[in-house]
Amino acid sequence: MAKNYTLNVALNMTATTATGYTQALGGSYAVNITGVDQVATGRIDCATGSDATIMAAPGYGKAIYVRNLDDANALEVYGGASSDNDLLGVLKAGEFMFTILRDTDTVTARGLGGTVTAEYFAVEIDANA
Amino acid sequence: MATQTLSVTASGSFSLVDSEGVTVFSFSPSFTTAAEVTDSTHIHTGEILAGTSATTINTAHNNKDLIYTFVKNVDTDYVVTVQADGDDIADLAPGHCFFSPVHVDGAGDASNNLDLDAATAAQKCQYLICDGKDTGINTDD
Repeated sequence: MAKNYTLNVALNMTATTATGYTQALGGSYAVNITGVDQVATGRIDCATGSDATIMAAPGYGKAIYVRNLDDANALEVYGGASSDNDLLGVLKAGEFMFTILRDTDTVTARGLGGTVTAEYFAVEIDANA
Repeated sequence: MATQTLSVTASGSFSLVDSEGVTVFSFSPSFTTAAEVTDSTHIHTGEILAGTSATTINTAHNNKDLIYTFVKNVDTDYVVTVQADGDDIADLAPGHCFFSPVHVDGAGDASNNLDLDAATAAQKCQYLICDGKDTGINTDD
């Protein structure tokens, strides 16, 4: 049965040079989600050469978080199948991404250079989110 | 020969709470990149009025093979779409932000851009982008 949820998000990025020049940007917000029924979270092994499904096609859109748990290999995250060539992010070892997309594409991932374990959540959103 | 050395730190906090107050999940990831010399030349930040056609936020100096990208919609009215090489990678409602290490290149390195597109009407956005080390991939994005 569909439920209502609140997704709380806080994100920060800081970029620094060796000379000490630093820039930072951040934000926090809550996304109120009404009447959706697809919430997925967990860990999944993403092989090279085949697509691991992070999220099946949502009805309107989704909030996606993926983190590369490998200590060496990178992870490609795609909107749709990898054959669509829509890269949402390329995560090196230990890196993560977060995005919100208002489309009905699946989300898939592939390891680069070896199988990569990904930590993820995928939450369907509605048009008012 | 002078070189540029860049490093990125990113952190996040995410929790999903249902209508009965139950926390479904909670994550607090963070990472700091190694200080990269190779391929890294440019930190670029600002606030821009994203128009109703592609408004480019990278520069010619960026390493389009990997750009750590943070974008925040700071306006009040409409969704802004973030595009890498013309493909949608985020749709940000007012107040929303996203972060991703983005491979901007199309097929053949050094092509195409990181753009903002406010489909309905121009919207203000803030952004911070920083070069990373080449991913080594050379695919369309």
